[in-house]
Amino acid sequence: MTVQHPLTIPARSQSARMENWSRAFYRFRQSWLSMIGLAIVILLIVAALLAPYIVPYPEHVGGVTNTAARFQPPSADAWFGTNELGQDIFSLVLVGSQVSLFSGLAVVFIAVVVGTAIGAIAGYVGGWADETLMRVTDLFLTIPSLILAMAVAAALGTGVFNMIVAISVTWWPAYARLVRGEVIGKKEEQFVVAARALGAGPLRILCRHILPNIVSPVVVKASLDMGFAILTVASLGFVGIGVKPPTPEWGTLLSTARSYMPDYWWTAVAPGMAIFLAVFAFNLLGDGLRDILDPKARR
Amino acid sequence: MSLDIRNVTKVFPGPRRGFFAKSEGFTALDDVSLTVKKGASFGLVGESGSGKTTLTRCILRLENLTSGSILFDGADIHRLPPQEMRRLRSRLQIVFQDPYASLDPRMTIHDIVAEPLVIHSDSVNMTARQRTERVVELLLQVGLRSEHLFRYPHEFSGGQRQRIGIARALAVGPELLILDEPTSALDVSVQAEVLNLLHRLQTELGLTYFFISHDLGVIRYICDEVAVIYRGKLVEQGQVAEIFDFPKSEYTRMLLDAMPDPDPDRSPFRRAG
Repeated sequence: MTVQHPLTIPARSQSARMENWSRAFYRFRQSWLSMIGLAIVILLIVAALLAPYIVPYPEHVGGVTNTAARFQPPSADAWFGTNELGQDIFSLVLVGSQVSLFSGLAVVFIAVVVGTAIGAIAGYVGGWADETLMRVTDLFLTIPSLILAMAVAAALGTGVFNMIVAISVTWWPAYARLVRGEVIGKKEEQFVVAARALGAGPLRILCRHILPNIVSPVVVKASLDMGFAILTVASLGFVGIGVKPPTPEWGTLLSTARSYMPDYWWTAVAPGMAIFLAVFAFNLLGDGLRDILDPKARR
Repeated sequence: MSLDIRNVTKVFPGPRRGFFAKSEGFTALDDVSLTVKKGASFGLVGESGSGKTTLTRCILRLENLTSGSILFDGADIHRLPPQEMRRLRSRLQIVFQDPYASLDPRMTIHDIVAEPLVIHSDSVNMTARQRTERVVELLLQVGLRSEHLFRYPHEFSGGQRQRIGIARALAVGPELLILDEPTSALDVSVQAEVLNLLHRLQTELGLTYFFISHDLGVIRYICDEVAVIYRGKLVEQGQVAEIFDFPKSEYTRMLLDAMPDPDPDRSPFRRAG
């Protein structure tokens, strides 16, 4: 059948995994909207990471005020103008992206980890465990996230950490339900039955066979959820139970700016645009990911 | 090694009606007994829904029996403790009907074929390097090439995938191979190649086959003994030549009559003309 030496392991210029990735990226590039989404997301994350080093007025971020220069309209010195305390809004928004983006990210991350674990166990074990876990999930699903965040803020005080915990508590049930459904669907697939026939244990089947095959819907949902998580974080800031000033945060900035509308419109436009841009970009990215990860579009 | 199926009955419970009442179940297997001898090929024929696949699932302990027992080398498969059952699985492997669904789409061929070696690493005990070498050896044995090693299942044709399925089943050196309609999802020319491969492997490795099919031609080609199953009951069993030439039951005769004849002049579709 072959003249090759039987035990040579072939070298490929590109591993199959790499090839799959490059193919997926190619399809992703076909949609320029997703590319824009990806570009903005990367830009926002890089800007957030570098914010403390690149802002033009780092002292304003720390709470230094300059009342002589209050309510300056946008200019070359202050790109987005200054606020009621004479602080540079561009600097505030840039540093504010740290809190907004990373608490959004943390919320989605916690929700994915907790939701996947609970959903996978419920779906795979089934029966009694499924029933119990899903009823608990339903219970959590009934809690409105903003109200719970307010309650947590009232009980434990405001702060980034409390806010993230409060939002995550209400976010994981959606993932638990998604993962449970997917796991139940995959559980009876032939390749899972094949693994059982080979003697694979439940942990191996779940981690090696089922979960890798349900990554796509979870990733898509997570990237679409990022936008909503950022929005929720901003909403909490807006109603005043998120991050405490002077730490800048988009929702808080917007809330303060509300009192100076419409005369000093720029104080609201900058944080508003930042929120819009982040939510928009993550939604575009999510749509793009859904296009490339959709199982029917693969192969 | 021998496989002894004794009075196996499998009833699937019906859906629940009310709190205590259950509706009547479906009897998939009704008092099935047969013996597969070492080194032989035992065929099981029956139409769709006759319980063939349920029987394989019972042999692999993927389903529990309602009554009866299945003995592998004298050990009752359904009463073994989990640890021993796991060890026994390495001696008892299966090739599935659908080569498109039975390979994990997210794993490379290397990982798929090496998986049984990893699962049974307590008895096989190989380093990662040895496993890769064993996988290449298996791929060559089933007629694939070593450059296929790091590809994904979707890059292969149906026949090639079935070869991968066979390589995976052979990885841990099983004694009994259950072949659940291994060729019915393939087109005719590829069927012949896969059947020839199975035939060759049997002589090379001294395997015992439990071959399930609804295709009598395939059974006649591969098997020494055959049993006919109809609605969960064994209708007839015996030597292949005997059953094919002198069928005793009405159902077997009907199956044989339904076999297409290779001579086109005798095709039922041309009789009118």
